[in-house]
Amino acid sequence: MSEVKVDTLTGKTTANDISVTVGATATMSLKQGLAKAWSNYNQFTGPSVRKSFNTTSISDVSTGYSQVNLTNSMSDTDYICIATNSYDATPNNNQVGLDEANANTSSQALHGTGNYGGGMVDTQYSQLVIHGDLA
Amino acid sequence: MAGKIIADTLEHSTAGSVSTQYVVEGSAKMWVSFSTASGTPTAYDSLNVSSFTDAAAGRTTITLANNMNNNDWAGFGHSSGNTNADSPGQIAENSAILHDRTTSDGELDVWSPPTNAMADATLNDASIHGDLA
Repeated sequence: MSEVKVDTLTGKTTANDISVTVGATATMSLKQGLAKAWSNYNQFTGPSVRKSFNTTSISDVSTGYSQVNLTNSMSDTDYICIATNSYDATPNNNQVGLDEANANTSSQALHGTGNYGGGMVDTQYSQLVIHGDLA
Repeated sequence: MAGKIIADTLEHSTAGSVSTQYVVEGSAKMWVSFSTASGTPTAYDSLNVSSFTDAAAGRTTITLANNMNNNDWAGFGHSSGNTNADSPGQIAENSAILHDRTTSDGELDVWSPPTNAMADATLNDASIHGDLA
């Protein structure tokens, strides 16, 4: 087994361009494949963050709406946000609500959750992941 | 000539270590943000996407630049009715699923419950995790 002990990986030719062999021979960009932010939080009691990456805080905008504030900003607003939730406050209820996750700004993403009746609702398990390019 | 490191583990001085299999298998192999509002899929930004095909209203085939090694990849889809996130109240009741998977493409289907029909939308996101060929 080989091991590399290092604090920073930097491309030799271009600082942020490192290729990783991810198939038999196929390579892809390390920076492009990595998630740039993710969060697991509770809209119902806060929002309060259980675990997150590159998330400085999550703000309560209004019922069913949370704003995820990034520590390090994205390069633009064309990044993708994919979100899921459990519908209500009961753990393990496994009901699914409807999510809206938009690139609000380069440093903020808006996560909205509605129910099938058309209203907005806070949920106990809200999760969001972001892919794209950091600034 | 560019350098090359072959390693099973990466270790940070303070933040811990990670097996490189998590870098390889944990990285998204495709992600894309696109609009179908005009009827023709238009990408905002993407990784590993070569083209789109407008299969029908609310149905878009996403073709990969580099193929997956089998059909067992995990696909995630998300759709909002619009890109206006300046204020709450813009939620669009769309449901999205990435399916009809092959090694080289997948279809994002977007369903609008209020209209009980497939629907084109201004903001669609999709991602794939799994193994490249």
